[in-house]
Amino acid sequence: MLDGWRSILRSHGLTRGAALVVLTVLLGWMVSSTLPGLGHAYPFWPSAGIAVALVIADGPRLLPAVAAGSLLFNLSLENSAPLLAVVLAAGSTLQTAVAASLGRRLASSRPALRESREILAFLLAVGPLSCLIGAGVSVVVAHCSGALIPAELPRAGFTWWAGDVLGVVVMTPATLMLLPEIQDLWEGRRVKVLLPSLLLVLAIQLAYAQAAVWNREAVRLGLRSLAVDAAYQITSDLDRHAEAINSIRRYVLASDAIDAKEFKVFTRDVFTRLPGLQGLSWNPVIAESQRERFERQQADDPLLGEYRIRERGPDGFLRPVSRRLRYVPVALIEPLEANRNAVGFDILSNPVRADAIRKAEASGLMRATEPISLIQEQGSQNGVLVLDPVKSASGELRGFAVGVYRLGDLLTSSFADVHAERWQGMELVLRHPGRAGPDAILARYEDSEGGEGGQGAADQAWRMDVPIDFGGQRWLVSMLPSRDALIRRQSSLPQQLLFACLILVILNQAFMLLITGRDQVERRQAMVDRHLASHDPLTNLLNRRAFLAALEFARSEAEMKLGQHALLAFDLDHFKPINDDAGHAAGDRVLSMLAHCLLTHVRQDDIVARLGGMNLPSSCATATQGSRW
Amino acid sequence: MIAGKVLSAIAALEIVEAGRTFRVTASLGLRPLPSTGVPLPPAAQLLREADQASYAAKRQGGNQLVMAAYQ
Repeated sequence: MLDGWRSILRSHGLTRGAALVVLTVLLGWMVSSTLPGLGHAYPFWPSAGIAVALVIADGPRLLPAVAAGSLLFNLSLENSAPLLAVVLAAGSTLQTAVAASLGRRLASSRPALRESREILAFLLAVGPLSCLIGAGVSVVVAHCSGALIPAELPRAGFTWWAGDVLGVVVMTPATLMLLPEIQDLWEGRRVKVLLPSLLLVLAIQLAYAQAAVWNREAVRLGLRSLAVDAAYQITSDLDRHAEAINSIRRYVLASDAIDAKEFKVFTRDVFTRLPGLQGLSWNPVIAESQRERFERQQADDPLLGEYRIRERGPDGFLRPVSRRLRYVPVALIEPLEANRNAVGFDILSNPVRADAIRKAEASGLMRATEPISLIQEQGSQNGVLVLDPVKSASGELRGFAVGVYRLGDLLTSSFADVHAERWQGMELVLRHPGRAGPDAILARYEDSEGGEGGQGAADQAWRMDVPIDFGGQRWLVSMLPSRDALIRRQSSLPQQLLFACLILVILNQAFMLLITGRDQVERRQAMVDRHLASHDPLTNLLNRRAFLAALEFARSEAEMKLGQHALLAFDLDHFKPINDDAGHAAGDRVLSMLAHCLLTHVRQDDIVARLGGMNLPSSCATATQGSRW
Repeated sequence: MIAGKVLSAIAALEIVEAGRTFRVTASLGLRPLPSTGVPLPPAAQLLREADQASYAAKRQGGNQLVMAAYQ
């Protein structure tokens, strides 16, 4: 793998550019499919660092490859717009160009990142400073394209920046150390620099992902409990309404004959206490044989005036009821003015209402209808009737005490209290659990922000549905936060963590680059020192001290009969005249050429040394037994 | 054999420096370190013996090998 890398990096120009394009796209896919992102911002963007390294090494001619890589990646994203991809690519190219030119200026075009000045410039200026460009461009793009709302921009911008800085701080040295032309500068330091930083990045990404999960979970719990609050608010109101409906039942049972005036007095203060209730009515069961007498009797009531039992015709208008065995007409209703249309309406004439009548009669309990359009409805709200069966002591069904609801008004009265600000940014709707799409929405809390699935609404995954039971019906109180509210509820913990870790990575890189760099310099100095201590600087042959040690070794080997050696002393003839006539430079050249000549003519194991002065080398030939000198 | 090769190689060397060509020869002194079990003198003494042999070679006109006298 490493070798493959190197062979790619060895070839300059076009091949390197192509490699950069491919890497940018591949790493982009890898990162975007594994790391949690914010918009298109990811907490680690390795290709940013690779591009900087290659442009530092190869110069601006690689910039088109940077642009092409970024462009291809951004175009490959879902719902990408060509214009935005071009702007983003321009941003990352500019960032790379600035980073690379800062890098060349502050460090060098062959950065070894060994000295503290060079390391600091790289870690503080090249990384954090130039990466502001890409983050800035991304924020502008996200804002203008409407991909992110303003409240999301700071976090997305920060994450983009941090991801690029991490990419540069970790991947730029990682790429530089693999470049063949500056390989020697990184000798012996690669693993020590690469391993800790990559491990740190891995740990950071895991921690960041975990923090993001916790963050979501905390927000989800908060939203959940708010939605439960909303459901509780409605059910407690409905319970109080049920109490009022129940009081109608007891009132009917207690009195023989009720007229509209008495009914008005009885219910007078109920509606001020229970604003969510649209009306209360008394619907007796009337047999066909009693119908005419009942109608006459009601018409005599001065408050009601003309009275006929009516039903809704196929054209939607009310008409006198057709003949049936029995009727459940609205005899009395309050508040009368708001509900006058409903007076005389036979709720048994409508199948949805008749269904609830059947259930209430059978169970003897309060039962609600499915959502209906009320006879008295002027707007477009859904309505519901709640029927409480009234039975005499003998068990005979006398009629129904009925609560009338407009569901939108119900939500408004429940939620628009003194604590209404807690629903700020929340869309609250009443949902039918058995339906899907727009049909499922029974009522909407009018003050709630954002439309269903609108621009401002968060992803449906954030919708909280809490079921409530009401008169045998089950509905869902459904809450969906706006994106703005969602952001406000999220803590910036993942970003704080990322920032702390970024500092950690920068410190780690500074530390590891510095100590491995220093180690390398010291190791090389020690090698030079060792060489100088044992070698003659002019001819690069061993010096006297080293030669005597070797000779001592050969001597003891010979004494122990381990090998046969010979010592050859060597003195140049007529050397002094050369030195005197042609100068020391000529003499020096003669000596070094001789040294070279000697080295090429002796055997591999022979030791040639210069003992100093004019006279040149003594050679200690390690001749094996039997061979001749 | 090696000594002979080195002598002729040096004599064949032509060193060009500052437009002038130099030829040099060398005088060699050989001190064998035989592994016959006989104790050998210390390294400095061996070196001295070899050196003296090379001076002898120079006195005899140079460009030759002289064996050191040793016990």
